[in-house]
Amino acid sequence: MSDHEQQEEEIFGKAYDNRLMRRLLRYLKPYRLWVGLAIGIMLVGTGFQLAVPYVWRLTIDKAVQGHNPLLLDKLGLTLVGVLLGGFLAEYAQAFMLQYTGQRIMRDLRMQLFSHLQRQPLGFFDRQPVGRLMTRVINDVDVLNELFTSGVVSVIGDLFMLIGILWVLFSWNVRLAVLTFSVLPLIFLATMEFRRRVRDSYRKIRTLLARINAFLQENISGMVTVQMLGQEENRRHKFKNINDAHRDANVENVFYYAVFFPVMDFLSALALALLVWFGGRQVLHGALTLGALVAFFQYAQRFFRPINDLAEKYTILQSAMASSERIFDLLDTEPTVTDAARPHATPPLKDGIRFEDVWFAYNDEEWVLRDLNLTIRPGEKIAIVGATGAGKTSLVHLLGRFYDVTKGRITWDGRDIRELSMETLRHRLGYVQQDVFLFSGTIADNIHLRDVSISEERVESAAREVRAHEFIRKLPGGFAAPVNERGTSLSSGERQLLAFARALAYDPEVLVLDEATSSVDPETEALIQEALERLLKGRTSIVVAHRLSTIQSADRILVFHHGKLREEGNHQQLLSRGGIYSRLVQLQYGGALP
Amino acid sequence: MSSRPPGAPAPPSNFQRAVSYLTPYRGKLLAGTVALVGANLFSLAQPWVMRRAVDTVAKWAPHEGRLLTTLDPQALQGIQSAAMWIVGLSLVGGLMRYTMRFLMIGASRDCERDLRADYFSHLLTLSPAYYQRNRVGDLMSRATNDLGSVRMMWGPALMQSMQTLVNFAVALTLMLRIDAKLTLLALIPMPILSVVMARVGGLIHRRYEEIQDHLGRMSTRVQENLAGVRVVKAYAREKSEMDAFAAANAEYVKKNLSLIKITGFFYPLFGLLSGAGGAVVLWVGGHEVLSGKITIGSFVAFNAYLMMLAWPMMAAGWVVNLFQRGMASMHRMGTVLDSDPEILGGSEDELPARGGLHFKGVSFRFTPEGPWALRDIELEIPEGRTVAIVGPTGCGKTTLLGLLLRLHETTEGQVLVAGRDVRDYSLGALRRSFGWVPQDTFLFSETLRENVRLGGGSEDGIAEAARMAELTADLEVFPRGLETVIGERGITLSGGQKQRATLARALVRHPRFLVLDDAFSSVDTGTEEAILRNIEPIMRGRTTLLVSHRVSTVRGADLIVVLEEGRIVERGTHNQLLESGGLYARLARRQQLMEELETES
Repeated sequence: MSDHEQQEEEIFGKAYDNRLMRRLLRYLKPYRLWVGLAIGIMLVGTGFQLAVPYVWRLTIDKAVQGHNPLLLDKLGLTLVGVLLGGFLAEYAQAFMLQYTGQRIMRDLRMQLFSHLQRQPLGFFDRQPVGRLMTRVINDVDVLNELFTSGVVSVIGDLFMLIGILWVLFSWNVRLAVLTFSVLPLIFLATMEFRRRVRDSYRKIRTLLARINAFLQENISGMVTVQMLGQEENRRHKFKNINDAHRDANVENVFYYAVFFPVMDFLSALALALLVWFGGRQVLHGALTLGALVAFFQYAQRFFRPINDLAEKYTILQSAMASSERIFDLLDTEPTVTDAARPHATPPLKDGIRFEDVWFAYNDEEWVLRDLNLTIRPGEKIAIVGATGAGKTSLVHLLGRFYDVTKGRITWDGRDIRELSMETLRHRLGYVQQDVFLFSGTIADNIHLRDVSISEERVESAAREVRAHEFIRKLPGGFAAPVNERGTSLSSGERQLLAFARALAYDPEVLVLDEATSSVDPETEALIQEALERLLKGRTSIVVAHRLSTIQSADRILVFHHGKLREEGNHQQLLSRGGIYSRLVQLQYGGALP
Repeated sequence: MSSRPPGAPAPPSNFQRAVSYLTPYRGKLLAGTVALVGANLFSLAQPWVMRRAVDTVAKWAPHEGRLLTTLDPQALQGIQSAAMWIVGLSLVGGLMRYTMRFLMIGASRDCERDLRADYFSHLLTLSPAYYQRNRVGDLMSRATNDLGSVRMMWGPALMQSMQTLVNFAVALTLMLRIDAKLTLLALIPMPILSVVMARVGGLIHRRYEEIQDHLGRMSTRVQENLAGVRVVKAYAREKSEMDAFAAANAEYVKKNLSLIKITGFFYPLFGLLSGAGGAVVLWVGGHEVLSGKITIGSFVAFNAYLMMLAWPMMAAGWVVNLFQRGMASMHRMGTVLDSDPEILGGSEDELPARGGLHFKGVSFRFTPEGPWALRDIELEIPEGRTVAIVGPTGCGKTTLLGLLLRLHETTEGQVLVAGRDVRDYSLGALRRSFGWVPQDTFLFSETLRENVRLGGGSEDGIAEAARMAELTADLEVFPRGLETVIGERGITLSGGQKQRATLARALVRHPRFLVLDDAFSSVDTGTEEAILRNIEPIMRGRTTLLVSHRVSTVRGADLIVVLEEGRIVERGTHNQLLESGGLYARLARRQQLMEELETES
């Protein structure tokens, strides 16, 4: 398990963190009026709820024992009024709070998503997609709980508790003290229960995650399991996790099975004390019967929110953990950013220069060493080298997916770090090795939702790179849906689609990382032709695997272990008999008998 | 999902199936039910005790304004015994409540485990074609969401419905004994409460599902944005991505608000309705106390019973929803459990000691009316020989190999392994005799050793297999060698590394037949050559079938077969095929051309 994961597991237990809470409250600020109003209404609602036992007291003492039927009618009406008032207050309050909660979540999700858009590629190399998804979707949802049923309703519960305490103490101090004498026991029992249940839930969650991961993987790989005849082995492995999950759950059931009766017992104890001592006081004439009955009702209302509070403690705990993770992410400053006052990228006139460029993903592990290179406008450059020679890194540096570690890259003499990334990338057109397709239509995948790219341009781009031939055959043509991971398209078709995408943006400099995967000869021919048309009249930098691409380049750069070792055209390099000629032999079977 | 052979017993109904999982735990459930009845009787006795206590106090209490210094011993004894009863009832009732929950909810966890195990076991028997028709996400959601709903039905829903029943019957009896008229009046809001709860519960559920649906779509958006970050950055699409997300985000809020509008209104409404019964008791009951029909104690106890009924009545609606949802989920799981494996093994557990592979007039199509994927394939691979298959993408090479391992069933003709029809052998025996390296590699998120060992075979063989698959150098770089965890929780392997690990997995079991399906497509030519050299001694003794695009891979085979659109169009050795000048010769020439290009220049 990596350090990071370990950390994620460990963050737990802290239920309140002032720093985090203050930062969370900042999100409330735009909605403070709503929240303030909701709290005010909540206060009124608590008042209504507190009034119910009081009405009962008056009924018993004044109306029933005082033989006053007229007063009884009035009290009946009063109770209806109190209930209606409570209903309205609760409705208004719940709606306002939830509404605010939703708004805040929306703001937070948007902030997270925008923050992710600003991160450079290096960030995504380190963070798995699944984890980032959890931040944006699940962690924010946990916070939603906090706003809707957590923090704010805790305030409501506290109002209630304080109200009851106040009423009971003002009525009869001795009885109030007696009633609340079970409070420490309730508190202890609840804390102990919460502690155990929390550990048990953590265990269950871990096991459930393992069950789901196991299922997911084995269903996806079912053919492999079956073809290797490993069904029994898999069944056995699954049984172990499944049984452990059941055991953890039964343990959890045990805690609940004990906890509920214990709480019932403690409140029965309080009730018995009230009956015993309260009854005596009534017999002495120091307390009215109505007050005693109201006492019973208040006591019951008192213990309920304590249970709730314990539950909210858990919500608070997970919300703190979630917000800590969210803020951690938000605090990760993008390492590749625009300058304070970036320049727009002008059309390329003089050329692109790499000046003493060094680059490492991790410190000191150099992927590119001391690179000096000039690319003139209109030049076709092919980059070759064995895997790990630094080819892809070089093209990534140009688009500022990463920043150089040492040295600089200039565009018409200006450091690209002084240019705005957006305008720089508009001048460049990237075609990547693995063609990524978004779900949507074929056309969506060409124009990438850029409204300035017309339908005609999409189609002409597709025609230019011969992609329209297969697109036409699809049901719906350009409107044909592309499903998840683009599985309905062959790898050759995907490459053609990526070419069309690049062409639709009409870049000045084309940067192409050729795919290595083998396709059948017919498609290969199609791709070669498309490639020629794509490169025509453009400055291009191609990480090349195809001999045809390499041969047609104006200049071939041979990289070896992060260094530029040879430079020249195909003939020159071959006759030199250096790395290039050996590379060609190795990759194109020249060494075969 | 699949047709059932005639004469087979009908699958159990959802209800029967749900009950069948409970049956093994009937002892637990029965004891739990007894405890449930006891627990509820004991809690319902509490207001009855209170009634007596209040009446005693009311009877002996002095009238307003006067203070008594001496108390009547009878009255004192009355309240003392009431207090004792309250504690005693709660103690015994609590023990029963504990037993009830532990046994009943515990049993639901047992059933959950059993159903999950059955579900996975059944998945293991279903044929590859089934997994092509059904999406992983869908099968997963049945194992998680649906299983959860079924469990809720077995546990909380079952327990709560019984509690509601007992509570209602007993409380109603006691209330009727106190005052029939008051009971009827006070209970008027109750059925309304139940009906509204059931109705609104359904509505809430639907809205909730819509929200979940939308959340799913929003997640997909985020997921694609993150997975496709290279494209997003390269084309500077951040702004339009943010706009699209903002729209999805706003829609999500809107959907949530539509739910909040319901819950925000109805939940307080339930409080109001159950409180309304209390108001009736206060007013009508108060008048009855005044007219002497009931005592003050009855008046107080009656209100307590009413409050005790409110929750079970609300829960009734909730429980009905749980049952509905549980049954729907049981049905969804049932459709999977009732699907029969389309490919069944034979009875033969051993393969004859000698013999190669033989496709005898084999034709195949994926669907009964579909086009032929393979047509009249006649191909014999004698024991110990190597046959290579080449041909353009989609010509049926992989499908042909699949027939050997019974990934699919031949439509016409016969596939013989070691002289007998593949259908004679048990699936395990047949498949274990093959070393199969598929085109799409699949490795588990386990250690490399476990992945290689998945092929069976000895511990010592692993290092040897890794060497032959040219993995040794990679292992030295991996943080923990063979013990390195790969996949999501560990390191990510390159395509070539995955293919080589898969090859090692096939080699480690010393298979009798070796089937390599374009197994080197992501391995560079140099490494491929090395591997082929390594495994040559093995291939020499084994019957091998290999598929490749590369002439260099197949040229050494005893026989090369060219497949085009499902038919064998050429066959012969490398040299023979070159001479005949067909498809193979063209393929070879193209590759030759590349070689020559640089030798000429």
